[in-house]
Amino acid sequence: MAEPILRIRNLHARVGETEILRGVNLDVYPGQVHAIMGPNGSGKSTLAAVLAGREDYEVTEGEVLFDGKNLLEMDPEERAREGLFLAFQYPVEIPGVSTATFLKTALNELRKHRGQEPLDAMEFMNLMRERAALVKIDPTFFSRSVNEGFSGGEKKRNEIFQLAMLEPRLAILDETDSGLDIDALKIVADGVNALRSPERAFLVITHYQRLLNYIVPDVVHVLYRGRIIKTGPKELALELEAKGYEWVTETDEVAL
Amino acid sequence: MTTPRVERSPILEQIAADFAQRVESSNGHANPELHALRRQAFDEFQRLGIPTVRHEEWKYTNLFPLLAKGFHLPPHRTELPSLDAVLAPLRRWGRVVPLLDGQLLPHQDEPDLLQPLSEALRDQRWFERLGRLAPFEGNAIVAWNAAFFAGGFVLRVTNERTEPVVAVSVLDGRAGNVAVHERHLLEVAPGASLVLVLVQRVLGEGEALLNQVLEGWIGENASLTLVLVQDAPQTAHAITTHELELARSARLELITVSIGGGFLRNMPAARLVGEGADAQLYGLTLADGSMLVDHHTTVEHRVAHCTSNELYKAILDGRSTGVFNGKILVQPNAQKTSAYQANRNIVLSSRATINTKPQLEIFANDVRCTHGCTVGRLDREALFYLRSRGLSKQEAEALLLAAFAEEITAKVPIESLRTDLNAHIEHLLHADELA
Repeated sequence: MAEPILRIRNLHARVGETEILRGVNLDVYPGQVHAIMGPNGSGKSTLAAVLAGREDYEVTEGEVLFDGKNLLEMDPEERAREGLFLAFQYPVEIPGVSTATFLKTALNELRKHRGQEPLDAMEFMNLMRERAALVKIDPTFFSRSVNEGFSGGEKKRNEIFQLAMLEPRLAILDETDSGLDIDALKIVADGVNALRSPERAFLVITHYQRLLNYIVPDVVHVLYRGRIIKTGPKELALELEAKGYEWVTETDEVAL
Repeated sequence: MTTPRVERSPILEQIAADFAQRVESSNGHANPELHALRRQAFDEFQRLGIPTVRHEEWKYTNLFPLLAKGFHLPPHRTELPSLDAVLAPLRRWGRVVPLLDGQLLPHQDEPDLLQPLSEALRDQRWFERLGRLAPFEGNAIVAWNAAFFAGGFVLRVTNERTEPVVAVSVLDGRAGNVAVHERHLLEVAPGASLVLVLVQRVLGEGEALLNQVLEGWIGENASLTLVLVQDAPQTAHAITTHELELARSARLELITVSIGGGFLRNMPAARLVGEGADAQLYGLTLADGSMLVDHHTTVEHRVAHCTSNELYKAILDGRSTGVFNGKILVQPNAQKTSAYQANRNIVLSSRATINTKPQLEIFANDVRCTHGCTVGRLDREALFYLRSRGLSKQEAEALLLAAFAEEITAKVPIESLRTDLNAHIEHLLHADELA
C-alpha cells in the first residue's frame, strides 16, 4: 500500500488545563474515507481543529505527518496550501467579502504554491459554475458576502462548494450533517461522493450514523475520551446506531 | 462655553502681521462692507485665540504642533503653474473645477455653474448669506477664515445635474509652507440635485494647510451628495467647516473618506429645518504613521419628522490618532425625530489612539435616537477561516479591513471615484506598516 496521507501518532492536545486528546493514533491512505464517530465531548471537533491549526489548542505530545511532512509546525495557511481542507461545523460569516473574491484569492494562493499560473477571470468563473452545480449552489451566491445571511444548509453546501473549488488532498468534514434536513444532506453527500478520488482522502466526523448511509466509509473509528477505542468496517456504524455508544464505551471503562 | 484666553504667541503675532499686511493694506480697494466684516472677524479671532486642548471641542486635537510648522499666506502670483498633471486623474470623476490657493481658475465650459466668490459678493443677496450658516462669532476657525479668505466660489444648481462637480483645492507649497483660507457658498435649488466632490492637492515640497468653510443650502425636495476626499500625502492638512441647511424633504448624503494627509479636522453640520428632511453622514478613516483624523459632526433636528443617520468607521495603525465626536441635537419642536449614530473602530497598533464621544442633546420627548460605538481588533474566527483556505495572515487581514472600509466607500455614487478609493485603500492595506 502507498504511504498514508495522514499519519497521527500518540496525539495529545489540551485547551487551557483540560486535556482533550489523549493519545490518538490514525493512518489515512489515499482514496479512503474514514469516519470518526463518538459521543459529544469525546474530542472529535478538537481533532479537526488541531489538524487545521486552530491556535486555541496546545499539542503537548505526539506527531502528525501530512504526506510525510510535519503538519504541526505549519501555519493554518501552509496546511491549506499543502492540501488540507476543513469543512467547518460552524462556517463563519464574513460581511463585505464576496464568495467570488474570497475563493479567487484562496485558489490562486493554492495554485501559486503548486507552481501553477493564476486563473484568469473567465477560467475562474467557468470553474465556479461547474463546481457550484455539484452542490446545487446558485451562481447568485458568488457575489454575496461569504456565508452572510445564509441558512444552515446553505452554509454547509458552501463548505462543500469550497472543497470542490480547492481540490484538497485531505478533506475533514466536521459535523457537516448537523442541522441539515434530509434533502440538504443528500445534496451535500452527493457532492462529496462526486469528489471522491484515488488520490484524495476524507475524514468524516459525525455524531450520527445517518450521514454514513450516503457517504459510505471504508473505515469507522470510535473516539471516546480523547482516544480511538474501536475501529472497524462500515458495519460498525450501523452497530453503533443500533446499540448506542454505551456498547463500546462500557467495555472501554473496563479496559481503562 | 468660555474659551480660555490665549497668551500672545509667535503664531498669533505672525497671523496679526499677515492681517495687517494683506488685508488692511487692501483698504480702499476692496468692497467696504467686506472689509468691515473682515476687521470684525479678525477682532473676534484675536479675542478667542487659537483653541487649545483646554477647550472642550479641541480636547484631543492639538492645533499648536501643526501651526508651529509655520504657515504663510500664499505669495502674490505672476504666472500660473501647469496643473494638468494634478487634474488629469480627477477628470474621470466629473467636471473638474480647479482652485489655486483658493482662487477659482478660469474654466472654459459652463460659465454659469460657478462664480468666483468675490464677484458674487457684489450681489447683496449673496453677501447677506455669507456667515449666515457659519457665523464667526464664538468660532475661532471660522473667524480666522472670515478675516483672511481669498477666492472661493459660489455654486448654484437649479436642475437635476447628472455630472458630478469636482472642486480641487490646489495649494502651492513650492515656495514653502502655505495656509489657504477658502470660502464657498452653495445652493441646491428646490427640486434640484448635485453631487459635489471636494478634494485637496499640494504642489511642491512645502506643507499646506487648508482652512475651508462652506455654507450650503439644500432647498425643498433637493438633494446634495457631498464627497470629501482626503487622500493627499502627509504634507496636506485640512480644517473643514461644512455647514449645511436642509429645507423640507431635502436630502443630504455626506461621505468623508480620510485616507491620506497629516492633520485633518472635519466639522460638518447638517441642520434639518424643514419637515421630512433626511441627512446621512458617512465617514471613513484609515490612518497610519502620525496622522490625526478628527471628525466632529453635528446633526441638528430643528423641526419634526426628520431623519438622520451617521456611520463613521476608522482603522488606526502606527502612532495615529482618531477622533469621533458626534453631536446630535434635537430641539424642543423636533418631535417624531429619528436619529441614529454608529462609530466603529479597529485599532491595529498599541500606539494608535481612538477617542470617541457621542454627544446627544435631546429636548423633545417623542423621538427615536440611538447611538453605538465599538473599538476592537479583527474578528479572530474570520481570520482563521480565511487562513484555513490558504490566505496568509496578512492577506486575510487586508481582505477583512478592506471589507470594513468598503462599507463606507460603497456609498460614493461615482463609480470611477469609488474604484480609485478602493484601489488606494487596498494599496495602503498591503503596505508594510498597516496590517
